[in-house]
Amino acid sequence: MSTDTTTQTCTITVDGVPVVVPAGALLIEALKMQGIDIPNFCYYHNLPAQASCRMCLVRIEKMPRLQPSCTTVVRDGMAVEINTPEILDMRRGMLEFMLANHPLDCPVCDRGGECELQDNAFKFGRVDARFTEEKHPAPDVDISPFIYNDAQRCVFCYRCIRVCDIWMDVGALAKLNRGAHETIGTFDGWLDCEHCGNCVDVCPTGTLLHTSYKFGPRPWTLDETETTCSYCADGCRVRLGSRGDTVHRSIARDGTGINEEFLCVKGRYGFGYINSGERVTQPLVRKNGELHPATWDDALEHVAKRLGEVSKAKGADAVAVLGSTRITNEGNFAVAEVAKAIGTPNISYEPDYDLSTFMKSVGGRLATKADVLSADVIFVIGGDPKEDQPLTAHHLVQPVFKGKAALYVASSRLVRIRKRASKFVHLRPGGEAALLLGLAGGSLEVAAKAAGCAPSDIESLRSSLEGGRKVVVMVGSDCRGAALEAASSLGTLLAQGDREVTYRPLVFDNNSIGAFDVLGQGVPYASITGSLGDSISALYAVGADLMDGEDAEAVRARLGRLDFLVVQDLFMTDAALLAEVVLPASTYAEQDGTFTNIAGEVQRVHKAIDPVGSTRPDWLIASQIARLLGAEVKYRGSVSAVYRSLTESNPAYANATYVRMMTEGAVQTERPSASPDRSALVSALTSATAATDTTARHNEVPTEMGERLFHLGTIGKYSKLLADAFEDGKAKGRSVEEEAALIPLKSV
Amino acid sequence: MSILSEVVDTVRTLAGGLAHTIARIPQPKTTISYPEDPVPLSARFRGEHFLDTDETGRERCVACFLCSAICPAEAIYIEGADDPRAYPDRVGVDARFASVYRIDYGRCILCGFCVEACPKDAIKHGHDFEMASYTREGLIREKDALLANRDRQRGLHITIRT
Repeated sequence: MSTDTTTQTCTITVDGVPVVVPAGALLIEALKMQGIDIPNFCYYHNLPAQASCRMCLVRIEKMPRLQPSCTTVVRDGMAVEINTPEILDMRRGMLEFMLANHPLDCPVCDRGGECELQDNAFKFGRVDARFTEEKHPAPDVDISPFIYNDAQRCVFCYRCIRVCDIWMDVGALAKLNRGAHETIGTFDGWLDCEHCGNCVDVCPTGTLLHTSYKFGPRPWTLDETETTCSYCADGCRVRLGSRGDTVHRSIARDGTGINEEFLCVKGRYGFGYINSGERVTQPLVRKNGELHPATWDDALEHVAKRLGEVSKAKGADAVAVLGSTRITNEGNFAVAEVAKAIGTPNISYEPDYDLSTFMKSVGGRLATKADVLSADVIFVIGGDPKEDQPLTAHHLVQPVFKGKAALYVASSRLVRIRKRASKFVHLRPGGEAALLLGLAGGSLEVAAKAAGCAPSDIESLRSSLEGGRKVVVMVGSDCRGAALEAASSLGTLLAQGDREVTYRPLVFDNNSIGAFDVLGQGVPYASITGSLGDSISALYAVGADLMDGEDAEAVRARLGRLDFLVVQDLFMTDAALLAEVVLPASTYAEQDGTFTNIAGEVQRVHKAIDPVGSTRPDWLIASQIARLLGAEVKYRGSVSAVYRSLTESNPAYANATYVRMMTEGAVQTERPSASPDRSALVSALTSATAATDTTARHNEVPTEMGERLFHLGTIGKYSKLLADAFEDGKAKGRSVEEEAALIPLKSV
Repeated sequence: MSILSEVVDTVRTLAGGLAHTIARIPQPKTTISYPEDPVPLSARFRGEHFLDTDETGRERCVACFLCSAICPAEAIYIEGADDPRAYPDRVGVDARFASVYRIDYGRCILCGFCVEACPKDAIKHGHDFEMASYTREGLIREKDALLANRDRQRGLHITIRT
């Protein structure tokens, strides 16, 4: 329930003082804009009104009883009293009821210090308790691997339930029992949900809490650093709470970033890899067949010497450099400097998405959060943001829930997002091109046959898309080649009309777009990995998971044939075990820099803790190697200078300065607009449709919750919490002891 | 002034001073011969802290951090931890307990705010004031030492003034 942005205002009187507020605003929000905070529990700014806690009651002139300010809309001339003895007495009374069964165990409770109930009780409550009756004790129980529930502390605001229903579209929480025995709980057993933990962060008391932060340091002892999440490409803003050299939690409570208070399971609970004991903490150099610790000077000089030798003996082309979609833009920029210093064209990174094809046809700007929230038609093709981009999924269901937008989904998989779609078109594997041909006005019969759906499906989808005024197209990674190119120029393919079409690539890795911008896709990744050991004799691999594919053994053999392999990574990966030199890199929490998110927005990464061990940021290591190789590196020891060089060399980033990011948060990159050729696209689609395998059977297996979301990637597997909870994209089952621990909750 | 009057004057002053001294000899002494004799201290004297336990011997401290929050000298460092065992096996009164509790007496000004703030009556002032050390490390007390301080109170070489 947020206020409509309107230029109309009205005047109300608050305790006799006239104030001007936006017309149509809720009273509680209008007062907040004036800097007046009304105490509340159940109200939450982007959840539907509940009006159950009765904490925000105010006296409105001519109204018979006190009115909840969270459901009252301001009217011109309204006279409100918020600070009279009557109101203060009411607040005292309400708090007394709320504390009637509250255990008052603040010294033990992890919410102590940032608890809304505690704050309000201090401000408005009684100093003594008049209840002498016994309280209903309820033991705290784990309701998921990440969340535990102390039912007795609950004030029944239902924020958690509403967040689960509306933000997450999961509905795993419910209220159990009635009256004095009421508790917040699950539908029998452990939470069957996405484990996002948003219910915990909106809880105004210590009812739902993170097991990851159980009995840890108090919130006021933490240094909170605002930075950008390192998991998916949505680029949520997180606050890392650190004490000393340890990161203790990752939250988004103040809601300043593009994600407001939203985080997913990985962003919230996947920080464990930062302080993992398995980190490589010092440089390693191979001597007599074994890796031995070395000083930074020795390791870097060894790398520069050997790279120089190979490039002199076999030519610069024999050296390859791999960047990463995981590291900062500054890191990739410095890695590119190394390639430049050697003079090799062989620089690449492992893409998870064919961005060069996508960008070729999109151009201009990518769809931002504002575009998604204000869209009237959203079309998702060939991807599942519910699994891969949780924030995108959260944003796109909001206008759908409010009835402001219609969602259309076309996919060869039974994706989870289809449940909120006005229409879901189930394609056969590889049927995307045929569907797009149908949407572009090709023969419906031919298109429907190849796409594996009914002609009427395509027809109705086309008329729905063409009826939109503000269309957002989300292009998933199932679209390849002609289909990808066509999906990312859908606006040109649809019939002419007055509509704005924006696009969002459903890329996966956190800095995919940044890596594309900085490193480009000059030499395809596959051609580099394919010629390792043949035409390429030396490899400098930064954050590249070379052996994660099915061809791991073949890659291992190729890596073994290299003259020189240097791996720069956080952990001893399989490739690092084969390397001659291993350079330990810092994680995002230990360095400054920038990530570019799914909407092409650049966001700052801030250093939360000092580098673990003697690790160094990627940009520093790479620029030191470049300098040792004889390159003239302009920047010295300053990440902002690296970024300045980046903005000078890349026009898309010219205006995205650190200063702007400091004030605006996310700054969108500006790309040249593209003008796709409609007839060429249609002919490419026609031939792709003709080549579609029409015997391919539909994939009838529905996507399970967590199939990709709970999948442990290159860093997730080192985060103990995630690794303990998930296995093969599934939440692990419970043990007998854990099952037994739930019994008290059931029998209440 | 003649020499004679000067001698008379000196003798008078000397006698006056000696009379004062001799008059004090039978009176009660205000000094003590430390360290041979016990030091008389007020019952409310704020000496080195001790961490208290309850009647069953469990640590009262639940690592709520209020003492370190109030401490004006930032002398207290705590780390909280979870003791998932059942009540009979626990070290503390609650599942939450202090795995690290450290007071740096190089910083502590013995103001007593921590004792005031403690909601569990876990930290209290003892009477020990012999905390001098030749090293900085010697000024730091860990949890075990602070717990042991509780029983050390009886053996202190002091008397409580009433």
